[in-house]
Amino acid sequence: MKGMNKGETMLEIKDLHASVEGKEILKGISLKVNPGEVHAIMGPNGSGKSTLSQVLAGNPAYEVLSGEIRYRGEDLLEMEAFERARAGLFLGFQYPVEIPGVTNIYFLKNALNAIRESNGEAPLDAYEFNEYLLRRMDEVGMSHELTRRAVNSGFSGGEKKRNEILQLLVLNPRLAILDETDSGLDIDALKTVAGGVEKFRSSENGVILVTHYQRLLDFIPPDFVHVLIDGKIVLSGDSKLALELESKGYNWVKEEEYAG
Amino acid sequence: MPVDVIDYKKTRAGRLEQSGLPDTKTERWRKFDISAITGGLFQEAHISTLTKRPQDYRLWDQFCDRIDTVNGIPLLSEKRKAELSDRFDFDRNLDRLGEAGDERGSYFYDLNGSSLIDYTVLTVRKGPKGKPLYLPQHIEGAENSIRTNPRLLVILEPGAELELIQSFSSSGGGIVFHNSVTEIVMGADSRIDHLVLQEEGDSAHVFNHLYIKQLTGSRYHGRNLISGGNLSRNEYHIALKEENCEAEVDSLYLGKGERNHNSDITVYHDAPHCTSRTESRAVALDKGQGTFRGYARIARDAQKSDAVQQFKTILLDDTAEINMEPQLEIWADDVKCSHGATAGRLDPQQLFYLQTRGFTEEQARKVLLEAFASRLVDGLGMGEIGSLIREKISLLMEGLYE
Ligand SMILES: Nc1ncnc2c1ncn2[C@@H]1O[C@H](COP(=O)(O)OP(=O)(O)OP(=O)(O)O)[C@@H](O)[C@H]1O
Ligand SMILES: [Mg+2]
Repeated sequence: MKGMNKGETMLEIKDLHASVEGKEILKGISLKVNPGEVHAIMGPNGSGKSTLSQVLAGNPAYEVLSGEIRYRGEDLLEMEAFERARAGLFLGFQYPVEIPGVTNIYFLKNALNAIRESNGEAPLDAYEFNEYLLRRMDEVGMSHELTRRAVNSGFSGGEKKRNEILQLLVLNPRLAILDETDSGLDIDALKTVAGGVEKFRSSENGVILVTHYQRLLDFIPPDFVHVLIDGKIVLSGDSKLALELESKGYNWVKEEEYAG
Repeated sequence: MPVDVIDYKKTRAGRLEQSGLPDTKTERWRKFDISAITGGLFQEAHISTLTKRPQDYRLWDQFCDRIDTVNGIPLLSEKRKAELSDRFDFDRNLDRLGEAGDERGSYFYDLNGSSLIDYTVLTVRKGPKGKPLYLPQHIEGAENSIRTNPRLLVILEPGAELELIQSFSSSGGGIVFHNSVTEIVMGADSRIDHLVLQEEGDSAHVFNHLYIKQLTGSRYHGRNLISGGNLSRNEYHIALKEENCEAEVDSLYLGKGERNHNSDITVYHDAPHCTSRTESRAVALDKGQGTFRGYARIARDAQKSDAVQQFKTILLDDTAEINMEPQLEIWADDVKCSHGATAGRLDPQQLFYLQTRGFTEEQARKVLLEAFASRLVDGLGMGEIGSLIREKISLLMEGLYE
């Protein structure tokens, strides 16, 4: 993947409409993410946060009705899911998928090498990869034993979320969309997950955090907070907005919106 | 061949007439039209057509002990017997032919018995497990339609252990029909890992009848790879005769084109505290067909039986058809039995998840198919051959769409 010019927008979504199973869920979303920025997206259940994440990652189950998405100078909607991944777009799933019969280490090694090769880098051999992987596992406090287990199979909720962060660190993308990676974590796990995101954060990387809770944002202060309700971003602000939401709830936003 | 086999053949011939040829009106053969076999004229393979040792699996020779059977006749010289005599006897227990199978029988069992020209009785003594024993069954020089009736009886003495591999092959270009019967009698605390490879060509029919009789504490683990043949049938009859036996059967069928596979696995829980587990998997496309039937019968005295039957199918297109029929017959009241059957496409969620990590759709599909198929070789030992089988499965999955 060729490098971006400085100051270039990483992701730009313009008036995106998307549906699933014939039902329109996203009803006109616009959002711009620059390198180095952390955006938080908050919003009530069912408002379309995961739909947005899945559309960005290229899930064919979701249909884009209209709008435009540019990612690092390219038309994202023209790219297949694997091309997006190889171009540095990463989605941390709200519900990570179990893949029985495929070991975590096989999965991660082949994923990384597919991405490396498409970037013109030499693939890591088994030894190099193992070293590299164990260091990343230590960073997210994951037991080494989980490398031999099947991907997410029988993992606890917390282990699955850690595994998503592990993949983030192993694959080292440019834009990370983390869909409720903080949900269902105990406080220690939350800290390691936040630590992982903090490690990833840099002036070159962009982050979109989908979350319901201020507690993650305490660790990772966002540059922007957006409130998504019924498929639209109805309010955007800085990190103070998240605090306000926490104390007043979403009805307050809805009232504001209707009040104009 | 000992003289009393002549009596044995007569008895089976008598039974053959009684049992009658199965057809699709018979419940267990409902989805399996065998008129291609029963309608055609198959010659019995004749000794004179036996020429040379088959070429396949040469690579394996260094990792296993091998005895070829060609056209139903074991190539077992006195010299070869002597070489293998530290673990095996070949001249004992000849009178026990039929010990595991006679009780159940079936048309094709009796056809085998009544047509025998030779057979192998292998007695395995207790001792170090040694290399896997590889018994390929080959049909040679088949210009016309040829049927063979390979027959094997394996007797594991108490505490004996064996890794056994069987395969089917043919050369010559005619239509062949392997009508194979294998009996295994397992003494107390004996163990066997039994792998059957059926990779025959499109013009071969393979019927593989297995009769397993287990005594106290014995453990049977059968694995079956079916990636060839036209009409093929696997029949397992596993009788758990005494306490604390374990039986497992894993199978993997790759169904496409002209292949039609029929699998029928019956486990008879005749004694308490036994466990059985069967897992039948199939991947099918391009008009491939198959029927998988599982049947566990728990006798009245077989308390604390634990029987599990699993069927899993992945259909890769709309033209393939796989039927799955789990059945239980339970006469004891304190038992744990379950069965489940799933059929479907590759999981779109799993495909998508892999793609978001940089796998192309094709790679993702291959990863999932291989994962599905690899269940067959989970925990497979057999040394170097185990690794070769793993590679084989991987290649088979890669070539599935070709
Ligand atoms: N695959 C799907 N099939 C059918 N409906 C779907 C599918 N995915 C999402 N939806 C519907 O789209 C709407 C938005 O769902 P989405 O998962 O995007 O919400 P969310 O904001 O992420 O909610 P949560 O906070 O509960 O995770 C919901 O009404 C949901 O039922
Ligand atoms: Mg969601």
